[in-house]
Amino acid sequence: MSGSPAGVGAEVLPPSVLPGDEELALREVVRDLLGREAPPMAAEFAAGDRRERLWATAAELGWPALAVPEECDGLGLDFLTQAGLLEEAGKGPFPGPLTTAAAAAAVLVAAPPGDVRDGALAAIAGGAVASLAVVGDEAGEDLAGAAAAVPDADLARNFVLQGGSGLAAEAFVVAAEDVALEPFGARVDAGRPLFALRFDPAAAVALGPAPGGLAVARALLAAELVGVAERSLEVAIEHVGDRRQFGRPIGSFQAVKHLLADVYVAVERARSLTRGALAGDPFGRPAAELDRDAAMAKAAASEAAQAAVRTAIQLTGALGTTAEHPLPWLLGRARVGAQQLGGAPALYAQVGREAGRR
Amino acid sequence: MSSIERVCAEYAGWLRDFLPSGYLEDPSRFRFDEELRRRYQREACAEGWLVPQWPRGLGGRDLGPLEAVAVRVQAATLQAPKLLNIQSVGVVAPSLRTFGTAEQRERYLLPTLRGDLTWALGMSEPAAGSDLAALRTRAVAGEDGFRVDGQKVWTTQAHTSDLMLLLCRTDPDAERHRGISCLLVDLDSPGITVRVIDTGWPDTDEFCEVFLDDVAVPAERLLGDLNGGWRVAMESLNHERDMIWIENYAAAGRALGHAATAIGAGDDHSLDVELGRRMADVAALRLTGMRALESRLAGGAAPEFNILKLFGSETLQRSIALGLDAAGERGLDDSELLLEDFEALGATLYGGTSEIQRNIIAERVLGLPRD
Repeated sequence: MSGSPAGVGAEVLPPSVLPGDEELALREVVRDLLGREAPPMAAEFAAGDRRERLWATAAELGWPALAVPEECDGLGLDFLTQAGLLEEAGKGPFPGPLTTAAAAAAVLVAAPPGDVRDGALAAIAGGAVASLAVVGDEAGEDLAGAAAAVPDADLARNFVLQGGSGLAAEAFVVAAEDVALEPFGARVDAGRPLFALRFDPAAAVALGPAPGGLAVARALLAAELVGVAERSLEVAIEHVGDRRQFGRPIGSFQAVKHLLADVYVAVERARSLTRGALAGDPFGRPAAELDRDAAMAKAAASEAAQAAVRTAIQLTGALGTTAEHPLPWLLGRARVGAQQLGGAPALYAQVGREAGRR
Repeated sequence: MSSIERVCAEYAGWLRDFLPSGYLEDPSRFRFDEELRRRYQREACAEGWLVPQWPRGLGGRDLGPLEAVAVRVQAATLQAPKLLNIQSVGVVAPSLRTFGTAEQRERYLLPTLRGDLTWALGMSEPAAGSDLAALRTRAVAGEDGFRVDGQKVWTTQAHTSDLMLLLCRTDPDAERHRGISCLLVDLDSPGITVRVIDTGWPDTDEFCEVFLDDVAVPAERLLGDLNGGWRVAMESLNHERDMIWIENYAAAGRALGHAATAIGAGDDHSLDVELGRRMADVAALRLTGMRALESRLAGGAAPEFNILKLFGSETLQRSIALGLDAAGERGLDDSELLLEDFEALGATLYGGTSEIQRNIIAERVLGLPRD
């Protein structure tokens, strides 16, 4: 575990997770954009072509290129800075494929350089959407020709496939023209629609193994969920400060205070784990350590987002369930995000199992 | 090697040289070796490892705040011998250094750091626990000092301590936080009776009741300003509250290490999820502690400091509870684990209960209205 009892020095003091100036400036821009472009009402949030328009704006601002290496036409910034951007976007939550493309790019960055991988990264940096799908969990299985619950596939130019264990434990790229799509499931989050994919495995180009890629993708998704959780907490705080019952603001009751204090702890817990997983050079750490830290971060952020939005809905009463309120929108993002790339129990179990093995 | 790694390695090297052979393999064997613990405090003080951020000659070696915390984490994870009278170094010494007169510092500070003088904290009373400002122990100022009457309770180690840092009411007419003063009281003064309260478990720190009946305290034993005792108490306790997470982190990590071994040895995977969740707690505790400190050093607000006491103590309890579940019936024969479980029950009480911590978070961090 982080900080094993015998640790010395570096183990004691992890790399700094504080936001740098660049991150702080980026967050400001995200806040501005969301303030202008994203009305706070659930009913309108993903209406019309808002996803496409916001993605185009994001691409103009260079956001998809943030953590893409410079040799692939990216800005070559660190993942921690990108996490700050996604956290801020989660507070909208941003109704476009920003996190989706960031997760796909993380797997590509981890894959060995080559024409296809470099080209796919350059495409993302240039504003082409890519989406990540995890396929083939069974050991020894060949690359499957199908994937479920793939986010923002309708806008994707490329798909990055991360195989499970066994023979297919490597990353692949398949172009959108080789993929058939159909909508997957109920429309839980209109800002992040999900799709089922079918494709001919022969059309997918193998890139080789991408160690740590899925882990970084998980941590980036965790960053967005921290933003979802924080915004939900803010919404709840505002409401319980205004709403009066029994002659006083309901936020003055301890029953309410303690619920929100626990949400705050969950948010900070998730934030610390997320930033800790991405601090420094994540790919420079042993892969098992990165996998574990990212699994903990994603599990914690899934829990924090779910707890925060559900507590907020409870405290806002029936108001928080209406289309005139931001909470249904935040709930949608929390529900989808919590399950993407692994839900909390499965990820905790993975961490626990690994620890027991050592 | 960074300066932090270097200083941690230096401390660890010193500690290894100091400890008797076999200690690091099984520190629990030495838990009740009071002579070793006393000697550790004295030598750590002399070498500057006791309060590493303080000046040389005062138990420190002028380390920066991050380095000092790293050394504390190192000491906790290596299970350096526990100080016999932790509140003396953790609470009393910082109060003396910040609020003491030159004479008070000269007389008490170094002997306290060395362990030659030991202290009890006279804070809680029968009617003043979480609501500390409700305290009623009364000190009346006269020409030759104070006369004190009242009662303290849950006063850890009052029966073995030399002195008591006493919070008492000196102005009954003032707003209640403004009528409190802090006195340095000899526990062998006439009029003081100390009664031990036995805990329901052997080998744990003993609580006491302290009765004060017309106790004379010289005027020069006032610490800080007259009626300025609330500030003395809060600053001293906050300092300690910000650091408690380090002990919680180390102890919870140890509990999880044992739990992982027990869980990994069996075929039962029902505890895998719980183990993973608690490992995330422990990792998050360390990251949040360091993030809060870095943020404060960078001049930020560092609101996350306010979760460390609550999160640390609850993480400790949950990790030990997992250890008990992982051990199953065998755990009922593990006196070390059972003792840790009992001691951890106190972690959500002392230094501000979890309920008070949640109020603090809600009101001071989240800005919810006071009730």
